[in-house]
Amino acid sequence: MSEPLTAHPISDEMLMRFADDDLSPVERALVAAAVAGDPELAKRLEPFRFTRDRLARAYDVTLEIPERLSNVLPPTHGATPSGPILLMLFLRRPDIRRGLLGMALLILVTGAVGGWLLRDRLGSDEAGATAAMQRALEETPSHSTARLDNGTSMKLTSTFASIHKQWCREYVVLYANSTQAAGLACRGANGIWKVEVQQDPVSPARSSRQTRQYEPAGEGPSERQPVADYRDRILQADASQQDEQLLIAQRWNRRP
Amino acid sequence: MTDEFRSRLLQLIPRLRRFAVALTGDLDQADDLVQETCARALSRNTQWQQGTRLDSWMYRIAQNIWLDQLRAKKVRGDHVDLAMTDISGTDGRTIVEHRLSLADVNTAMTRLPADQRVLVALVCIDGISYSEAAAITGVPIGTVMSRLARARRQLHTYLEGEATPRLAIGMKP
Repeated sequence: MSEPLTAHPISDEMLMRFADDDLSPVERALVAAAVAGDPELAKRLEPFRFTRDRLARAYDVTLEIPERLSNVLPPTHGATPSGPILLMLFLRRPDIRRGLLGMALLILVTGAVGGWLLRDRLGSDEAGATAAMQRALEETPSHSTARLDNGTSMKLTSTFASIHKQWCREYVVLYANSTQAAGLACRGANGIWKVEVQQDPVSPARSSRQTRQYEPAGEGPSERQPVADYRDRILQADASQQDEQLLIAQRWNRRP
Repeated sequence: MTDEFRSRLLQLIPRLRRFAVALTGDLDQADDLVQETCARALSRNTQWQQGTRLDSWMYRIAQNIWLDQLRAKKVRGDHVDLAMTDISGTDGRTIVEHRLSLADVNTAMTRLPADQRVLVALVCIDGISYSEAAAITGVPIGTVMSRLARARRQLHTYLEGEATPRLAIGMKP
């Protein structure tokens, strides 16, 4: 620089370059001295340090590659992409997948007897919610509610470690027709949540009566629900709220 | 596709995924974007010039795909990630943690204009230089710096300076 920095007001761009370590040693020393002696300047510097450090660290959890991306590239032997490989990648594209899925559903739904049976299955609130349930189980803190599909939502109620060294979660599915179903799912080593037990949907009044039955105090084992019974059989230790937050942030990469 | 190209592309996938999450604000959409970016890179691998930065080339592809999607769907601001809604608390519960959660940051990022989001993702999150970011986005370096400074001040305000920083897009106070 031809003129001393202190001869001019220090701009936000200069402060940003300081936070990003983009200045020469001389410039850096001058800005450091100015910031040290001027609280207002230090305050202006804060957004740049904040976005360089804390904001960037929040994205560290996304560096872990999920299963679906682990084989995003086809095996190769040094050749250029062949037709089948490009076709495979084409078919993996989400819009194409959705289109193919739509076509498949159209064919199935217009079927005769089998179509009727399948229509009944797809028409239920449970069908088609699996992918959304996976996300809800993966990302939703306990006591919060996640929207699923078709007006269905899911309230997570607890998280615990099982004797099978898996993370498990209790939940209640709230259907659009105002019925509810309690359930319990555990996360496999492959990152997929598997529903271990789920009740048939019941009306809220019956559900709330049953929910009270989850409470161990004052309830005999014979009156308790399958979900609560199953939980008792596999419970190793409850996860604290702090543990749960960490597990969600780190995509459940810590085994119980 | 040479083995070297494939190997380098594979090494880039974690960074590419982080970049995609920063752009889309949604893990599923980000993984879709990474897949599409890889598919396009493989089909056009002869366009990449040896000796130039593969990461910049890939980021440019991802950015273009994402901007095309934005233009096509006009989705800016109307998507609420599941995790964001939950973190904001349907039961009024306040989640306090020292480390910023991804949901908080994603919520704040989705409030920025697309061009600023790309720059934050490149420079702040990936550590790309201003000049390389200018080359990737095709914007003069002076504009890059002024947009970036504005975006970073805004993010700081969203995440640290507002009374309700966890308010998700589309949700009413």
